[in-house]
Amino acid sequence: MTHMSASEHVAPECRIPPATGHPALAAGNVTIDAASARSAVRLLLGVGAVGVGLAIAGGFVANGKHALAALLVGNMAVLSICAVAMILTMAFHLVNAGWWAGFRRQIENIATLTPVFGATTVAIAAADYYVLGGSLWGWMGTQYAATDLAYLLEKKSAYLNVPFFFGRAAVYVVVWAILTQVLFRLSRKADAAPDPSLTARARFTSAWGILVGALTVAFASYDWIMGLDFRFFSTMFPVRFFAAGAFAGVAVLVLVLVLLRRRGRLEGVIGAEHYHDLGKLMFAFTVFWAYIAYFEYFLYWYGNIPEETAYFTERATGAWKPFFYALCFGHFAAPFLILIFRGVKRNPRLLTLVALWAVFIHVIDMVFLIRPMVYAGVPAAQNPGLGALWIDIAGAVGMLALFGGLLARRIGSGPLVGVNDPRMTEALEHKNYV
Amino acid sequence: MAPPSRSRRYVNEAGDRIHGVLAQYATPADLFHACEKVRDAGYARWDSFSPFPIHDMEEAMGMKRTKLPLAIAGGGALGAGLALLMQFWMSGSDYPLMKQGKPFASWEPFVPITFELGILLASFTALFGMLAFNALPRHYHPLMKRQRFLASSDDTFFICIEAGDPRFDPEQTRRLLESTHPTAIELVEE
Repeated sequence: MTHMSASEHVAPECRIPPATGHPALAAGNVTIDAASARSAVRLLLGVGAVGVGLAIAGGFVANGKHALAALLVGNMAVLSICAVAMILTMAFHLVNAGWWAGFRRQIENIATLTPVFGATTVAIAAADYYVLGGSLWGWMGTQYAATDLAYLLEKKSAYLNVPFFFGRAAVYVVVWAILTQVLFRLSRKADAAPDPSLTARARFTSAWGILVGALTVAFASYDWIMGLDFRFFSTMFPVRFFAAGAFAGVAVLVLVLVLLRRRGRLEGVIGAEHYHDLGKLMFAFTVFWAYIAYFEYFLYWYGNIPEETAYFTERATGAWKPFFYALCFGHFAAPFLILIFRGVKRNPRLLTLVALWAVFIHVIDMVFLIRPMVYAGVPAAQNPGLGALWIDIAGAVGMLALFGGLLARRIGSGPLVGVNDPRMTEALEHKNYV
Repeated sequence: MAPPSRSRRYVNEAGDRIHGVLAQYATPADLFHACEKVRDAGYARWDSFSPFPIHDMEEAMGMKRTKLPLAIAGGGALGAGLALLMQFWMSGSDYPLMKQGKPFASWEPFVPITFELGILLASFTALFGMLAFNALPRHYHPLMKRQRFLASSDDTFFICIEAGDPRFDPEQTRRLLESTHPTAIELVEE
C-alpha cells in the first residue's frame, strides 16, 4: 500500500504554507518537562490507589458486589471518555478537520488510555467471576438456575457464556490497543520531521478503524453495562453510552487544555475560537444524549411490555427516581440552557465550570446505569442505603484519579502539540464566523 | 439596523433626491481598507458590496453582532411553552382519553411535540426575523439602476455611503472616499 502525500495533488501556489516557525509553536510553549508534571502524577496516582484500595476493602468488610459495582461505575465513566477520544480522533481524521491540529495530541493522549481501562474492566469482571462466583454479572453465577429465568438464560447462553465473554473482552482490548497505538505513533513520528504522508496514513487507518472501534465500543457497552441485567435488551444502549461519554469526553479535553493554559502553555495555539467549537461539541452531545436517553425510555414506556419495563421500573420509580430526574435536569436541561450562550463557550473559565459539572454528572449517569443492579430484587432490609456510600465515592474518585494520573504522565511524556501537522496553519488561524 | 435618518435632504441639479455616493474598487484588499476608513470616520448608514464573502469584513466594517439569536430563543421558548400548555390542557382536562391505563397528563408523550413546536417557532423566527432585519424582500434599490453596479456580482467591489447618514456631506464624504483609492466615484439618485 503506497500512500500519496496530500500535497502532491495540489498546485504549488495553492498550498497552505507550513506553520513551522510560527511564534506560537516555540519550544517553551508546546513542551512541558516531565518533572513539572511529576508531582501531579504522584498525587493523582496516590489518590487513585487509596480510592481503589478503599473500595476493594469495602468489598471485604461490607459487600463484594457493591464494591465491584462502585469500581465499575468509575471504570466505565473513564472508559467511555477514553473510547470517545479514540472515536473522535478517527472522526476528525476522516473529515479532514483543520481546527483540531492544535489539540490533536491531547485527544490522542486521552485515547491511548482506552485499552488500559478496558483491561481494568476485564479485571473487575474476572474478580466477579472467580472470587464472587458471578454476582454483579448475574448470568455468570448459579443463582438463576432454579428460577423462572433459567429458561431465558439458557436461550441467551450462546452469547452470554463465560469463555465467549472473556474472549470478546480480549478482542476489544487488543483492537483498542492497536488502533490507539498506530494513530499515536504516526502522530509522534511526524514530530521529528514534517511528512504529510503520515497524516494520510492516519486517515487511512481511521477509515477502517472507526468501524472496528465503533463496533467494539458498542459491544463492550452491551457486555459490561447492559449485560449486568441479562433480562434487559436495548439496541439504543451503545449509542446512549457513546453520547454520555462524548459529553464528558469533550469536557475532559477542555479541562486538559485549560490546565495547560494555566501553566502558560499553548498560548496562541488554543484560544477562544477553539474553546468555542469545543463548547459547541459539548452542547451538541448533551442534546444528543437527551435525545437517545429519552427515546430509549419513551419506547419502553409506551410499549409497556412487562419483560421490557423491569429495567426502567427499577430506575424511574422508587429509590432511584431522584436520579432519573436529576439526570433530566443535570445532564440535559441545565447544560443546554447554559451552553446555548455564545459567551459561555468562548470563555475558558466558564467552560471549565461546565466541563467539571459534565464529568460529575457523567459519573452520576454511570451510577444510574450500573448501581441499581446491586440491590435489585434484594429485600430492602439488606440494602445499606447511604450507609455504604463511602464505597461508591471511593470507587468513582479512585478510578477518576487513576485516570487523571495516567493522563498527566502521558501528557508529560512528549510534546504538547504535533507541530508538524500539515493542518496547523489552518488551526492557528481558525475562526468562527457565527 | 441603521438609525432613523435625521439629515437634510440632498438633491442633484435636476432636483432628484440623492441616495448616496458610490465608490468602485478593483481588488478585495482595496475594498477592505476603504471599509476600515469609512468605519473609522463614524458612518452608520453605508454598505460594501463584493461578489464573494471576504473574511473579517464584519470587523473592517465595524458591524455589531445581530440580535436575532435572542429573538429565535424567544420564539423557541414560546413554541415549546405553547405546546406543553396545549397538550396538558387537551389530554389532561379538556378531552382526557384512557390509553393503556396511563395517566392522562403524563409528560412522556408530550416531549416530541414540545420539541417540534419549539423548533418550528424558532425556525420561523429565524427566517422571518432575518428577512425583517435585512428589510427583505425589497423590490427596488437605487443602486440597481447603475450599469456600473451590476459588476458587483462579477469582479468589482463597491462602497455606498447613503445620504441618510447623519454624517453625510456631499463634499466631505466624497473626499473621504477619494482618499481610499477607488477606481471611480459617482453620485447615485434615488
